[in-house]
Amino acid sequence: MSGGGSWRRGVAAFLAMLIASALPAEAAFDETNLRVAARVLGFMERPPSGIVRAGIVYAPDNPRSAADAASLQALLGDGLRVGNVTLQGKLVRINEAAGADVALFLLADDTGGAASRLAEVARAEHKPCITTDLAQVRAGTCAIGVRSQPRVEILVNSAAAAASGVQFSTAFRILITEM
Amino acid sequence: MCIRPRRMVPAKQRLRSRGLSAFALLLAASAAAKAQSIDYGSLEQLFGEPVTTSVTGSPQRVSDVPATMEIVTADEIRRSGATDIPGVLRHVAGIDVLQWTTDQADIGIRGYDQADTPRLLVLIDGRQVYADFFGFTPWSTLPVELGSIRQIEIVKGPASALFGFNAAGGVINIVTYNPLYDEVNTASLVGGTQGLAQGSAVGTVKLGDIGAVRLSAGLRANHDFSTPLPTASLGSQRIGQDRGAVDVDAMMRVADNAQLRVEASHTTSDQTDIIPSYVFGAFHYDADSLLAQLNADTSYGLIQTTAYSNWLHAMISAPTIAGTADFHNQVTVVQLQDIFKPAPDHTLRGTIEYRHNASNTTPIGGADIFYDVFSLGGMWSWAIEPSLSLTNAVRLDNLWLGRSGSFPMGFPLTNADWNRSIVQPAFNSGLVWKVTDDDTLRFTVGQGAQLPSLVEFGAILVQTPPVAFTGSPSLQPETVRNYELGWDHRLTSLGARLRSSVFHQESHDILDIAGGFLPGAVVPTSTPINGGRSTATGIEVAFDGTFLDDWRWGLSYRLESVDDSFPAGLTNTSTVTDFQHTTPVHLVKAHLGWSQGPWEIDGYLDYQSRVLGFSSATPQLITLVPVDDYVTLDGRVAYKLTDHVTLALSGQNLGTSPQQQTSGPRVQRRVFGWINVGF
Repeated sequence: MSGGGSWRRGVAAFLAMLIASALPAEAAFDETNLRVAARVLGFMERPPSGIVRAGIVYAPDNPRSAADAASLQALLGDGLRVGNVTLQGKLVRINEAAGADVALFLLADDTGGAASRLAEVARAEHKPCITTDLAQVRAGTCAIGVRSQPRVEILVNSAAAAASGVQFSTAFRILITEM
Repeated sequence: MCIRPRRMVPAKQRLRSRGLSAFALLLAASAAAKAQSIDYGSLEQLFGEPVTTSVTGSPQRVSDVPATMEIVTADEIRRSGATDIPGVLRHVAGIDVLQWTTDQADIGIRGYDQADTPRLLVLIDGRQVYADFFGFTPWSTLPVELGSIRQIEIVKGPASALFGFNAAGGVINIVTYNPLYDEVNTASLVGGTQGLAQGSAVGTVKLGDIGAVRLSAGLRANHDFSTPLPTASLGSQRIGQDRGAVDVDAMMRVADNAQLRVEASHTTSDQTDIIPSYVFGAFHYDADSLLAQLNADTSYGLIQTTAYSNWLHAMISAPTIAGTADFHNQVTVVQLQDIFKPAPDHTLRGTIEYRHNASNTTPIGGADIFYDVFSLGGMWSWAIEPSLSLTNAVRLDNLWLGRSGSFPMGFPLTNADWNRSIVQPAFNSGLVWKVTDDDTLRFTVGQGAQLPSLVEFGAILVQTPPVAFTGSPSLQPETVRNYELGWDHRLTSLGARLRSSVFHQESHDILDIAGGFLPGAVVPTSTPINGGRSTATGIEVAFDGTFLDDWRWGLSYRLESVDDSFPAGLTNTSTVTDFQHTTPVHLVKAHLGWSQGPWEIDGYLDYQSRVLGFSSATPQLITLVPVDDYVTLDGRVAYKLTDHVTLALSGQNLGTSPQQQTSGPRVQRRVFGWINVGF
């Protein structure tokens, strides 16, 4: 009897895992996303190498955005090395993005409508913008969106990318989602 | 032996000249500097899964391809413990292996495996290594070392819309490391049973900003299994089996947006092997190749121009061949391809290809069999929605067959009988729907074609009673149409994935190498024929995954039912066509592996259900004999001695030995000891 119960519990646990595996995973800005973002840089027309300063752009009046930016900064630490690139983070308030001494922008979550200011800066200064907030990419305020769960997806807003001088190799463009 | 260069060279030169001129214009038109070739390693690191071009010609993540495919990674190759490519493939889901001798096996996809199987097209980095004279792949002639392979890509089902003729049952594309992106420096020494002594080395030399070169070389010597050969092969003697190979692969940056690849290889091998009439003989091969390829990422897309020639010299001594057959087979291919993305949701590929293929007649010489093929192909991939894509590919091959030279006295055909053309369409369509983040459905339809080999077109010419056979100029390609529904499911919480498919395949105008007779021949002469059809219906289910950090596993099952239908009275007693009884109904492959610290242990258990197999009772009488179901056990234990040195012990057929796995000689246990050095 106990053997049969164990067997049923095993089947139940297995089915529970199957059901759990079918549920969509929640996206989150984590080290994996950052690594994906850094690797994306390697497929740009002129890929950066060495130490690359990334401006972590956030909306200071939104606590969640500021918290996400702080989290990003902590993830980058003294520098996150991925391939030929070592990403170093610098916190940048969104209204201070213009002229910031950075090579690219990492747009924190929950910047809302304020992100449109960053789009203007990215265009004017020809700097790529990368975010995990794919709505910002669809809105054209940030050129590149990345997510790593449940699988790596890269979304590029072609108009925003072109406006900010970002071009990718043909092979890479075929592998990603453009809009 | 002359192989009609006068016919081939002018067209090649014209194409080369025009192709290079077009390239110069395109390069000049491209204003921006871009990365130009596909960096498989970086893309795999980015996407967390291998990237392939073997399904549509354009780069795709393996989870997105509109086909059922397997990718064997470099790690899996190493952990297989195999000393050659068939040894790696024998553990891949849905792959059939007929291990005839230690150095030669026939690989089939979804059954239909036979001696010198012609339905599988094998390529290295897109260059055909399939041998057109018999229409098969002599694996020992491949100029590739296991250490230089990044991944082996296996496409199941016809893929002729991309690769053309002979991708009828499937394709295996062996992708090697790109010296520009991958620095590989390894060497291995192997010793083992059957007197095996093998050495292999791969090295990469960086040439500053100019480019990089990969050099690889290998030597192998062993003797064959000692189990008896079939009765009809008694006239043959097993020979010492040797292989030597060298390959030079150079990638150079010729412009900011262009790379030039030049590759040259030479292989020589001796081995006991089987011929399509299921008789064993002694084979000697010399294979050479030369390839040039220009890749450019331009504002017109990713443009690739490729030109290569393969020269294969095969000397075959077997009881059914009066004397020695001495084939000189040359194939020359020139391709131009453009892949571009005109809109965010659309990717297009266009291809033009010219191919010249020729072989002398043998053992009665004095003539050449040849054909030229002009091909046009196109592919359109449409991302209808982020979760839904449709891919359509078509190709039209126009073949002109010819023969020049003399005939034996009284032969009832003339060279004019070979003056004919064949127009062969091929297509592949696939709908891929990502139903959820973890579920993908695929519906694919494809039609491919298997071209009669040069031997079947007449390159073999034996007129020595009582054994007389030759080819036929009137053969048609065998066509294969495949319908398939696939479902992939990711079991995230189990760290596993499921890949499954249901397929239905129809083959028409089946080619039988010895099914007919030559009308009007003074000596009764066997010839190949087209006749009948065959259908296959099956299910494939494969799981793989990891657990408890250190463990990995895989389990696959294939259930297949084949139904042949051949017209009565068309075939003579030498027929070697029966797929219904020679394809196993059940095929199971299981794998369990463990890694921790310096240790790496893997075991493979494969099961094949009972089949029948062809065997030559006499050179004129080929019969079906039973091959009972069997289980094989392979394994590997490795210990990493230092960061640079690994010791390993691996084996094949570790269970029952000797064991009847084919209608040929029984195979024996094989054990290998390895020293691998990497730096």
